[in-house]
Amino acid sequence: MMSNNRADYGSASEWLSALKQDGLWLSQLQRLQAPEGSNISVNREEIMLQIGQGDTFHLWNICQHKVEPVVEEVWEVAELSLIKLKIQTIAMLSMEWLEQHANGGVGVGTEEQSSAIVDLLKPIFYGSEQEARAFLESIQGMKPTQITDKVNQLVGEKKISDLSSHRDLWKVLHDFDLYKRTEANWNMQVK
Amino acid sequence: MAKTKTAREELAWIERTFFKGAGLAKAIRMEGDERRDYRLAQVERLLSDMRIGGPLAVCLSDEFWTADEGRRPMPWEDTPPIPEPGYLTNPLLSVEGQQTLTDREMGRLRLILEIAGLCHDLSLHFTFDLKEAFGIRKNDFWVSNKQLVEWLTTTGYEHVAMHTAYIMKKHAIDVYELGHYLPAQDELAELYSEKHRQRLGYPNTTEIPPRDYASTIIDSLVQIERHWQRGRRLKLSPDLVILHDEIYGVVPHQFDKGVLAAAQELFDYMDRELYGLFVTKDFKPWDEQPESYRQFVSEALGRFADKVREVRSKYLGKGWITDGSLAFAYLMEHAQQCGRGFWREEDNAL
Repeated sequence: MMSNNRADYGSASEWLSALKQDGLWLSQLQRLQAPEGSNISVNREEIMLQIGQGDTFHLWNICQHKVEPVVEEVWEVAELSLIKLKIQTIAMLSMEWLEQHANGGVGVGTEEQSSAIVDLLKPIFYGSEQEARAFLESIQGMKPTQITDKVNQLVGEKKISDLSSHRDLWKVLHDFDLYKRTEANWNMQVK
Repeated sequence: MAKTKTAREELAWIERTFFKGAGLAKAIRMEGDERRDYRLAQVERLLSDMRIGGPLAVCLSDEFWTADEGRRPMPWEDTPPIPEPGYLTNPLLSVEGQQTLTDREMGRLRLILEIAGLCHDLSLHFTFDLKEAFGIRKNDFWVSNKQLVEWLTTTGYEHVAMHTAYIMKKHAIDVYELGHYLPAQDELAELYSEKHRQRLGYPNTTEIPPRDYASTIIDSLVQIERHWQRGRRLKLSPDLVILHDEIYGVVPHQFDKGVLAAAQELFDYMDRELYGLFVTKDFKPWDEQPESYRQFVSEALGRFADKVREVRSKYLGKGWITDGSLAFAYLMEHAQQCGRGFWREEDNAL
């Protein structure tokens, strides 16, 4: 049984190592490894709900979906309970696993397809391939509102052209099934 | 390398850097409410001035004190990193330095120190004397302090209000963490502004306008407080309220009859079967406990998990407290705390 007392761990990485041995993560891993469509298979939307929309989610995006630096940052701030951090971390580890092993849900398939999307996204990101690729990676596994929130954030950071953030961006994402909702829906969410 | 400025030179530099055109010379004659208003206006200006990438208020505080709580003098030398006892500090803080100043200079220094002190506490988020700073009678950062809430929601010093609200949030998180009220702790730790569709973040870096930032925190604190008031009116014991909220995984706006019934059944089980069960004479960490003890605890918690599942199917249904959910994890942690003897009396309401 894993302790939920912060004082029992010397560091965030020590806690993360303990979590990776914990029954809760191991049973989740079992679910992830189960064949698709089986009655224990996981739901991406549920996983994303567990990460939530707070600081952990924000850091997870900034850290390009890498779990360890997120945990270290959240650990440092120390406002969140270890219970919630545990649930969020299991969700982040699950997404990491899915991104490495599966291509279902919101996600791109082959490297060629990914390159094709990046080429279409580049003009929207002021010609920056790096920003376009980072965006594409960051929306893997996201639900629609999280994608539009991310877009709003990038518009605010002037990484996406304001003019292209509506129809142009929606069309690329919609054409590749990365955002399945309508353009009207997109425009309601994107500022 | 030791700094070589005299007290007079340092005072002149601070006035030039932080108070140019601020009318400091005239303000030293002010007293009472007028002086308080002047102080707050200066603190507001310094908190909102972000030209150095953070509030200028932090820089003013850094001239005198370290970022620790209280007033620990900042080392006046660049080295060593860990100051020796009796290390050199800003000459404006030493009696010898102050003795070289004229009465008028001392008057300005006193006012600067009052402003810098408030800048220190507000920008680094430590509690401070509310009566001295805002003229509020009760020195209490809890949201039940109506005069404080009224002041924060109506004042024109919006950055002061934003940072004070953040201090209230920090204080509440500490109280809830200590009281193992995890849904409230986590809600506050990850506050989200629906209006601005972004997380609240840190006040020094947020993009949310200060008034909205403060009101998001106050609304959330008020909602939690009202929830407890309702709980008291319904004569619910503190652990029952917390169990109810844990089933939701958040602090809900209301008490639901069905959820309360589920919480009551868990409460009764915990009171009867778990309370104090894991208390041992020694306080060894879990890994150092004998295998027999660890097995005993695991089995007891396993039975509680079964009880949660039973309660789920009896009162709640699909989608509630699923295994692996935050709500389920909250309940399991609550059971552990109960086993260790942490079970609230009637008057231990949060």
